[in-house]
Amino acid sequence: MKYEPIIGLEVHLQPKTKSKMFCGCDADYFGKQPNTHTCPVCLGLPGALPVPNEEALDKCVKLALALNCKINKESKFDRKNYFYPDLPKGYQISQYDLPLGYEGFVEIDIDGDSRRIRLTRIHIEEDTGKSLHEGDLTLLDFNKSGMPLLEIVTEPDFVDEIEVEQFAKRLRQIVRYLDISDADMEKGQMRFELNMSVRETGSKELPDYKVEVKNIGSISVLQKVIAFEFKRQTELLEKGEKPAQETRGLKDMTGETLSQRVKEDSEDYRYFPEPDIPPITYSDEKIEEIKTTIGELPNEKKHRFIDQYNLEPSAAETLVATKRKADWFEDSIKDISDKALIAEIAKWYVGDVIGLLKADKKSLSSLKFPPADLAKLVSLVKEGKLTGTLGKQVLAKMYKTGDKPDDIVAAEGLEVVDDESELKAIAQKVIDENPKVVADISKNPNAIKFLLGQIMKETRGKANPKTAEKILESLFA
Amino acid sequence: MAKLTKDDIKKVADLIKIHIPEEELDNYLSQLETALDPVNDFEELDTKGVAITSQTIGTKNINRKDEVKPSLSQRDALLNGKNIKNGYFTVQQVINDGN
Amino acid sequence: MMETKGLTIAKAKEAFSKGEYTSQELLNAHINKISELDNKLHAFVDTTFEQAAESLEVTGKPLSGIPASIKDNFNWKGTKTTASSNILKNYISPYNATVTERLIENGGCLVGKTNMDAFAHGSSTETSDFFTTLNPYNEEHVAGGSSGGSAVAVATGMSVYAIGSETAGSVRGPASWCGVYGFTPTYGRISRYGVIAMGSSLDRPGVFTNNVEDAALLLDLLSGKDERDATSIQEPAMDTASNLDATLTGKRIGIPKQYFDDRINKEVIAAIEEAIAVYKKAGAEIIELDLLDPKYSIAVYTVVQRSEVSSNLARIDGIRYGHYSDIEAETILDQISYNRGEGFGNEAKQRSMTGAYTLSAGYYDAYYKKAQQVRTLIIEDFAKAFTKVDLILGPTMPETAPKLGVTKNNPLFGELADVLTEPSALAGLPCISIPVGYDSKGLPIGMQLIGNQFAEQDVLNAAYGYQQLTI
Repeated sequence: MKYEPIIGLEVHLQPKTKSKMFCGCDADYFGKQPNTHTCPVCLGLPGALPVPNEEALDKCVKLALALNCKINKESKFDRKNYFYPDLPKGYQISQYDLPLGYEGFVEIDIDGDSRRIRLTRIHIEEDTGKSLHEGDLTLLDFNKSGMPLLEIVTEPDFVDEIEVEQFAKRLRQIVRYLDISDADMEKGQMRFELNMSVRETGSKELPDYKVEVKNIGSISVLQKVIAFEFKRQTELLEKGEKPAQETRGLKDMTGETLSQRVKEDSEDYRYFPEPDIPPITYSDEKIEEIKTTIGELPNEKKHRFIDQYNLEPSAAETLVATKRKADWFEDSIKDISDKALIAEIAKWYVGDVIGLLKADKKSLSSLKFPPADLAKLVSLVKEGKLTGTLGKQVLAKMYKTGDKPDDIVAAEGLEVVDDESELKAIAQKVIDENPKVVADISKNPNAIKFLLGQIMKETRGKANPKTAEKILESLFA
Repeated sequence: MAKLTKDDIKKVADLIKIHIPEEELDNYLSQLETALDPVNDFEELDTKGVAITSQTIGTKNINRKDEVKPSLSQRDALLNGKNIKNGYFTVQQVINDGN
Repeated sequence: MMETKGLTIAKAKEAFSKGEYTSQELLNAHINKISELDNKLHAFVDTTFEQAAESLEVTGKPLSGIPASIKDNFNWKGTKTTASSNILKNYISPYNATVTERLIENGGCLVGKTNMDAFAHGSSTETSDFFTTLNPYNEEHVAGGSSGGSAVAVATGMSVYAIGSETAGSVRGPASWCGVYGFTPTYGRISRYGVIAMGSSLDRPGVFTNNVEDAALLLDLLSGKDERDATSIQEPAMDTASNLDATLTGKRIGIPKQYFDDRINKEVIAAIEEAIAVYKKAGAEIIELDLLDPKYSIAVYTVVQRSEVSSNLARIDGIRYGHYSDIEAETILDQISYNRGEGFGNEAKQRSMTGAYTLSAGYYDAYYKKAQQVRTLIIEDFAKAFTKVDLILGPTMPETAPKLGVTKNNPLFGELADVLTEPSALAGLPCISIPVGYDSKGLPIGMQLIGNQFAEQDVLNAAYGYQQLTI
């Protein structure tokens, strides 16, 4: 019997705001002393009232538009009533039947093909407080309580964990592009909830059970959970048992899940419209206004880079990883029309510049030289005025000091030696100094490489390798 | 309207986390039945197509700008908690949710 | 000892400026009155004489030196704010309600927090978790509720004015049964921020006073949009006190026949009809109205209020505040159940349970949704009426104050007693109860005026007109 998974995802995303969702408490609570970012509203004190954060609402609509959703122009908040120690009001202010966004999609690339993952809805709600274990005690910190939360729910469209990974990464990339959220998973700004069941391959029916795994804090663990659950559920099915419809939690970071002791009746949330908050409406004008702030999304940019700059898909993908990276690149090539040069600059950017930053764990904003300088450097190399190897050396100097490439080349006397007569003389010298190798020329093809190396050494790397090689070959012709 | 049972009372009491001792269930059963009695009058009114009222003054979009306002001091936040430790509220049971 | 009963803000201010007595002397007189009466009447949960004395340092403000009290569901930083409930009996508030803030800003001199039905769940103040507030006209009768303490404080001269709150008839009712003015503005006119919530779509802060002018002044000082209450009316503070107009000629007064049928006590009807005659003589046009039967309002109010109550009380789980049971339950959710089960009184429990039931899966459509639809019909009924009349007039309560013990085994007492105030409460309309006489037992009778939405000036003017003709 062969089986396949049916996977749906719920993503919780913390939008970037200065204050919380329904009160003015400072949203920058991460790492702060417990219960220092609370007020009567987010602490659930008697008599307190919620007032929605305009910026958070707009960010929700912006995300919904960017993810191709329809917008509920007449929307509202609802109360979701249940008890939990980290839920101070005994209800969560959320959205029930009129979410701000619905019926959207995200496109992901699988093996060069585009796949569409449908979104059921995107809505806004408030987060709960945080609980920690200390021995037999549970400690409660309400700094996180009342933080805005965007919830993105997908249809069960995923067929495997690779698609889930691609989706999660693409979503994270998009929200960073839109500057809606930093989506820093270590700070809990993006979390996942998995809905998964398994059925016989080829079956058209949706299984009649669903397993939910909550609170997954990283994409890698998410993939491991999917793998674990697939194994666990298929094993049960093969034994003729049906996996229980339940909510499970993580045992640890290996992806293993555990059944939760908390009894899982289908909870009756007694949703009703939030009487403390008037309805939320978005006019066509306001929606258009928000649309104009979206800008070019990663997928669009990637395809444009492929078309406009003749780049390979994988290079384009790397270049558009973040908006800042992409913008820096386009800035560096803005005065260049030579497609081949552009491709070269892309290579140097991705391979060397980003490489240097990664090694130092630094960000693009800390780069000491401007984008135009990279273009200048790469054109020097392409024009043959600077060897590739020395070019890397110059780049390293630019990275360290921010000096201009022309200045570095001049100061260190790194101009390429391309004069044929000069090179001929040096080549002859090298030949004279290496009789043994010369004698092996006909037998050992690497001998030329060795002699070339010696010429490079003589010229301290400045010889144009192509010219030098040509000359060597002519001398042995 | 449907008649209530003791089980309904138990269910509802559990839903809103209010412990009702066994011997009081009948009392609450009778109170709830009485309380729901007037609702029978609803049947007389035709509400087909009538919109619900959840707010009476007709305002919309009463939101606030994304600005930081002062929070309570930690002391004030913790002021009325029975069990406090190192700035946290505490309860003596462990929440078992697989976290 | 100076008699404080019946004092108004204007009279006190005049006395201050004439040097008849100082604000300290006036405060002392009120403190004495409280010591004299309150051990028996129990209008106060807590007195705040120190804070009242301190407030005298702030002079020249509209409310400076005028002793007043405030219902114990209004948060006042540093004081116990209990809503007369056991579960909150030790709760010390770390913040001020907007009303509290505005009172203090205007020189408010608050002598105490007044008793109420616990969480405002009632119309008698007999279901306070602490003690019953007695009716000063006959101590074997209830004062009315849920703002009973505030009504009694003003009726007896323990306060010049008092702040209360109304969800159905919790200001008008006790005002009517204690013989004082009780005024509740349009829903949203005075901020709810910091008022312990009962029915979120219904709760309205209101005031008890000895005359219409004081009610108007307090409305002006307490109204105005509040950025902390998203349901507050988005307008600046009102200016009704300086625009009071006693002219009744040409005013169209609507008399709903449903407010005068045989469920209303005959003596009450008689008193109201005398009042109607005053209006007629003064040139007002009396118009008979046919409104929706108030019984529908009882059903709607019961469902909507109790549903909102069940949700609003969920925040009291004992962890951040409130009663914490000594039982060491096995799970946290069990602990919460014991905290709430032990801490809440009968009313809070039975109302929460009813409300949760009407919101629960399978019942939502038949109860909550239907109730909110009928509510729309009630609102439209009033809107239609106000195209024909400027004000609606009727008795505030179907009878005068009942005897103590009336709430025993009477789970619907509150909702049934408030039959005449619930319809306008569901529509959030501005209204006032005016003392118009006494029954043969000497118990006060109140008449209510209801105005169109946002028409507080009309309500106050019509009340003022009556007051000026009957002083």
